[in-house]
Amino acid sequence: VSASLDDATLAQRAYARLEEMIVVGELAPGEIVSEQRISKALGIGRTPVREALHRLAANEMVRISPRRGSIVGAIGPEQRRVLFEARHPLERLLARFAARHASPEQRRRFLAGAAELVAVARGGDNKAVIAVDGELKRLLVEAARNPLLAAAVSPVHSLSRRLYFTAVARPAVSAAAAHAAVYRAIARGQEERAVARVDAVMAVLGPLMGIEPGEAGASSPASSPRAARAAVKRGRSAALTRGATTNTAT
Amino acid sequence: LRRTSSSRIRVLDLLVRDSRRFRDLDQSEPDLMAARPETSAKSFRLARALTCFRLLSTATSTEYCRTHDMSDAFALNKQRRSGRGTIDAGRRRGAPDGGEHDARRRGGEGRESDERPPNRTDAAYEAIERSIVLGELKPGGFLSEPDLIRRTGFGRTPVREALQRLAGTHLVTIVPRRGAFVSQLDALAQLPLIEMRRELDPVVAAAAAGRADVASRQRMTALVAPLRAALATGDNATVVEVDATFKRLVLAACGNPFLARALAPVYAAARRFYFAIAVQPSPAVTARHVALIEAVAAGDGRKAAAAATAFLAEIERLTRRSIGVHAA
Repeated sequence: VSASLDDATLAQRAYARLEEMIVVGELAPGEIVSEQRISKALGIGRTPVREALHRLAANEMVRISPRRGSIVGAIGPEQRRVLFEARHPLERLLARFAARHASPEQRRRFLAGAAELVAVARGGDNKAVIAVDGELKRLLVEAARNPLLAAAVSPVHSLSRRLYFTAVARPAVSAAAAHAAVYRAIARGQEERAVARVDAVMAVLGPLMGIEPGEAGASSPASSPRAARAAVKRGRSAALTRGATTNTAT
Repeated sequence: LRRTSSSRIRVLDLLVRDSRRFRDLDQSEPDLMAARPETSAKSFRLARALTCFRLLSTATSTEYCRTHDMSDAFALNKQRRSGRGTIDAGRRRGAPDGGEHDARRRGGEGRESDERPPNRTDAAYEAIERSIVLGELKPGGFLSEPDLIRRTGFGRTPVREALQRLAGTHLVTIVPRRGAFVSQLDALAQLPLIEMRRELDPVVAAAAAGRADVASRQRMTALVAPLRAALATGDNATVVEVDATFKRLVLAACGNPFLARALAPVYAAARRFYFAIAVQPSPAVTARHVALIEAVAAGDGRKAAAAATAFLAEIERLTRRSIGVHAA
């Protein structure tokens, strides 16, 4: 058993490294990742590397083809659409749980991080934005204190970051400001407000990352009425905003 | 139908011959087959096609489906390693009313649908998950790889991969230096899960309603009868099985791997908790469950989302009541 656990730790390390390489484009979409080469490059045995690749496949970062090995996945329009479809409710949950459960220390970090995010975005350094954003996302997941949600959101965040990196050449101040508003609401423990701010973030991010206006609802025609209905059902005005933004964008 | 029957028999003969050859190889040369995954995959595809053809000609025979289904390929594997009864068989004996539903469910597995073709890791995962959900593997119990290999009949690699995935779905806890344990059943953790589902269930139900293909819709519809039958006989194990099948179909059909991944562990935890607290199926829950299945199968996104919310409200009521009772 102990051998397999050491493998697990190594697999984690291999996973983190490979994910980073894919996010920043060191490994390009369509590139074939050879188990052997990665194993050599990282100095990690083939078994943990294989395990890491399987996890990456589960996270939609690579595709495993029985003949050819692991292929870095491209992010096509269809994947962007399902990514956003999943990200919206998951971010709403993260914001709600974080606003509820964050420790005083975490709330302070949210406030400081929000200010920093806007500052680096204004500064124009995309790499710095990615770094601060990554830090805040980790804080968000930590503060939400929900391991299942954390696991669910991990591939969504990885891919979103990758998408941002490829889609946005210079930092988008509007997106940074929208994010900052979420973090401030979380810091103040305002659940409903934080959730509503997430809706605003998604409305800004959609067009930025190449989700065509209305595309998110295109193949599920029930999207907007669904949001409206859900809002009536739960008495949450926030979901109405979600439906409304889709329509306005169109 | 009659016109195609002779060619079908010819194809069937070819399939039988080929699949036997591969199965024999699989039995006599397991290492060779393991070393050549494409051959193994071919044997599996053949077995699957074979079953599909058999089902076409004997679709009415429940008994046949029960004994000659897709688990054949796995059953061989099990016999080879253990020579004793499988979890599957034990469950069937324990729940005779599940037979018909089993047959329907398995019957569908030969057809093309949204679902990924099952592989050994998936099957090992499902077998272990079922044992945990049904309490055959006790909360807090140690999971030894050799025992699981014996129990499920799968090899070391699928069992290890299944354990990793079970750790990912939080049904299993891996303790460094000590090994894998069945996670404790935490009643209070159920409420955040329900909160997650409030946000995610309507989205995934609507997406599945919009994107499911004809085969999955049919398989969903076929679940209604066994669910109603289980209500009548008070058979909760079948309710849990039907629910597991339905959730699998929905998550495959929703066309969103991110949502599927988010919800699979949530649903597994919910099933486990439900089986632990519910003495027998409730008419109210079953009615909402059936309404949800029918709405998704009918392809009405709005109705499916609303039905998901209504079903969840019923589950929440049940959960809160049981937590209240447990706390008192």
